[in-house]
Amino acid sequence: MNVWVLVFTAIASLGGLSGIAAIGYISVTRRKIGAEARKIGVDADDVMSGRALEMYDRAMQEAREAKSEARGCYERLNASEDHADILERMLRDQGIVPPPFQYPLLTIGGDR
Amino acid sequence: MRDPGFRPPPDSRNPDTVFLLALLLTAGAAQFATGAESGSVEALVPTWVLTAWSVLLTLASAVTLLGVCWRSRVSGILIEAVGRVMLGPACLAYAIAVVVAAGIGGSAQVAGLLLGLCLSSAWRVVQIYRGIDAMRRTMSRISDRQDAER
Repeated sequence: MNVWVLVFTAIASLGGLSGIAAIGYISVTRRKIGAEARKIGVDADDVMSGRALEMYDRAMQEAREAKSEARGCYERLNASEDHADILERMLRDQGIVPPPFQYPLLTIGGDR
Repeated sequence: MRDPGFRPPPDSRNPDTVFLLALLLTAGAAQFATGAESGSVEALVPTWVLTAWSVLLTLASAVTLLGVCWRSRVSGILIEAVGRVMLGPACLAYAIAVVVAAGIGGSAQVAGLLLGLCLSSAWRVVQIYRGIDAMRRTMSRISDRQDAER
């Protein structure tokens, strides 16, 4: 038998065997990828196409903006409370006791 | 922030690739079904090896084509990888048979084409492996980040 026959046969066999091994590898890999994608709540195909990462980037950006807006609201709220405290103290200093603040809308049809 | 580690592997669903794979599939299936052979492989190897090789070529190109056309991207490239793993050696064996039968001077174009196909299949397998690996690392990083935020 010619040496080239052996080489040809060996390479072709290598192809067949690696194909069989690759089937095992991809079935395990596909399952793992699916599980990892489910764990982070996305579809594996969306990750592969880059769509999931874009969505993730967008969601993170929106979260950052919302956080920054919330921080602004909180600071404004604190400032308003400070102003209310100052006003109350000034009134008390002048001997005027301010009435407890009432929420007019809550009194309509309410218990008070 | 975008994870810099992940870049999806390029899509091989393009006319050139599909045409080449369809051509190989037709050639392999025709050889297997009709017993027709170009002569180079037939001159080199016994009939049973020839039959086994034509089955390998047909199967490899069919699986690769199936993977390329598969709807789900992840499953598609994994199926394509299986096909490419078989296609590379099948083309290399064919190139060797052509060179042995016709000599390097007489077979440079065909052998070059087949060797090119073998190398491109190997490169594609590497691309797919790296893409899948990067994707898994990215998902794992996102998962860790989600765990840390909880």
